[in-house]
Amino acid sequence: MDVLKRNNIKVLGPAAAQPMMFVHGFGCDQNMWRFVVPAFESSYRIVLLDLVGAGNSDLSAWSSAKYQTLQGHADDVLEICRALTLEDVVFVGHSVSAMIGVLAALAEPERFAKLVLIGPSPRYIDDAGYVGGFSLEDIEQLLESLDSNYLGWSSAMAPLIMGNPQRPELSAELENSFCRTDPNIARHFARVTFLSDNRADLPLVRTPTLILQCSEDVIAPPAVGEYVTRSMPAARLVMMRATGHCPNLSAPEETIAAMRPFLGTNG
Amino acid sequence: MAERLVDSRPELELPAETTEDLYENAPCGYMSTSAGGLILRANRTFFLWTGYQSDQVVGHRRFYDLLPPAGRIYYETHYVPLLLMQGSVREIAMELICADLRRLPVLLNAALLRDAQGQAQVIRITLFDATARRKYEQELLRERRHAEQATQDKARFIAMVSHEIRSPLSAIVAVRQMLEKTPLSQQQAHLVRMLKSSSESLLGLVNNVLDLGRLESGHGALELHEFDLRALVSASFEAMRARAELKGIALEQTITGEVPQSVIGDALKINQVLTNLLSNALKFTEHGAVRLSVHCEPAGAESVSITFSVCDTGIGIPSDRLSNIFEEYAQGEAVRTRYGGTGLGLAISNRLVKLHGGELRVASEPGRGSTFRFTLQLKRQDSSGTTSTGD
Repeated sequence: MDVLKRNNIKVLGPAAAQPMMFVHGFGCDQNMWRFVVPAFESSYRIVLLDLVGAGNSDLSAWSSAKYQTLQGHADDVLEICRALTLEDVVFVGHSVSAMIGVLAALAEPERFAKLVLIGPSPRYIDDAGYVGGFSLEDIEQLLESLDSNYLGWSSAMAPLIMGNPQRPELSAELENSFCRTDPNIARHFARVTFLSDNRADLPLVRTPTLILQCSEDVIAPPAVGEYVTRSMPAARLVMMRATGHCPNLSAPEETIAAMRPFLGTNG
Repeated sequence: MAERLVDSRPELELPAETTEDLYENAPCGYMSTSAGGLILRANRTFFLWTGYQSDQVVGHRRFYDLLPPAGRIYYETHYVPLLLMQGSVREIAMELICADLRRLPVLLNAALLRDAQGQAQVIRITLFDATARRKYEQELLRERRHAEQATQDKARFIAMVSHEIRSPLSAIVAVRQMLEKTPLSQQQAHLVRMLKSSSESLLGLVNNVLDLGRLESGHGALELHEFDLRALVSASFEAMRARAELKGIALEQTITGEVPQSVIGDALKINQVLTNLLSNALKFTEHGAVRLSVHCEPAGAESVSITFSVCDTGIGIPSDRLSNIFEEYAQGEAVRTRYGGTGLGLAISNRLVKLHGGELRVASEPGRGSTFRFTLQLKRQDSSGTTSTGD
């Protein structure tokens, strides 16, 4: 199994520099880092990947058993680190991949220098004494809406162009990789993501961690970001002005500016 | 030149048609939001559909406030990233929560408009009422689930019935064999021969149905072990010799190339394929020869590539039937009536070859004969102990 092909690995930047690995969240692929990566490309060895089942990963490598929990993806991250002999890694994880990074750093703490977690949530469903933001019923409805959307997408053959897309050629590329996702895999990943509970893992992580929290985020509300920061012994929180769940897309400059002081001289 | 049509009431003036009119009363909902999603404007159609008053939403609500929680997740994980990256999204299926808490299924298109500096300014959203479409989609999904369930139930039923039939049938075969050994009149011996042919063909059918059911339900996993390739080929060959002699057809075998002592594979299943192909070849050949050829070639340090082919000089297969010959029950009606058989043998063989990672292929010419061929990559057990043969 060629892990580099499996996860559609792209490596940029100087080969001898400190590695910085970017891992996307649910619903996306490595394209989502396109506005942030250029800022770090000259001083870091950038590693981009698609989680198995997303983007242009090798779908034949996907199995419901292996990816039954986030640990399956964390194991992939570690395999990629070994295949590329990455040491002293800065791991940048968005959304669900924040917890994938937590699991990887727990398994091989010596491999990771720093974690940058963007919009992390250790548990999306409310629990006694914990507000995740969603009920189990909400998640069941999400799975239904996924069914409907993938069905809709596959039947929407003729492009309906609206407004003035800045770069039409980009559209096709993105739509191909976003919509390539097998509906069954997307449903499965949604289930694994939104039913996960990694609260117990947080206090065990010793790696220095930066939490980037948007001021209005329906997926990971500020209270969750504060919970994560409190629970991790070496975490610090930056509350961003940006709203939504994808500051790396909606506010790339603010995201980059928040990362630089944490990364230190290299940044 | 086209004739100009004259209306019977020429005095009727065309009513004033303003852009505003078209915007407000379009058959779709229009909405503009800020880059952060705050609703800045919406048309009359939108308010009509959702039951909101303008001052309830404009300047007060964000677009995602109109979505149920699941929709908000979808909005943040699919809609927003796609919109920010490519500047537009199309045909996203969502539900809007209306003023009376009713849910309105919509299809959403959106475009992000930027200012001269490239800063995101306004999101322009078009909404289509997707109530009917959603209803059909849900019916489609429900029916698909029903169909999948029904297929599984049917397969389970067939497997169960076949299994139940096999036990008494095996008893009939055994009793017939015992009967054969008792003193029989000429007529009785004739009846026992009929019984033999019918019971054996029925047992073959039941076994095939069970095999196919197992393969279809994914229970046909390979049982890999070490076996002697020459012994396997020769056993398949010898099992057919009596039938060939009875029919007066020459049966030949060759093994060429670098034949390893032993390989790793599922010998039982490979034997089943060879037996099926040889048995078909003999069945459809009246004159000439049936030849089993096996050729081995090294494939890397540890494996060997083995090509098996069964070639006959029989009736051949018409070109229009070659494309679906490996499908279940593909055997033509005329063929079945004349030659018998279940039409499952090739479908099973094809699946067994696929389990080993190979592909069963056929070449044929009506009246000249057919050749069935497949290649398997098997691990060799003894990398040093190969024997080279050229017979």
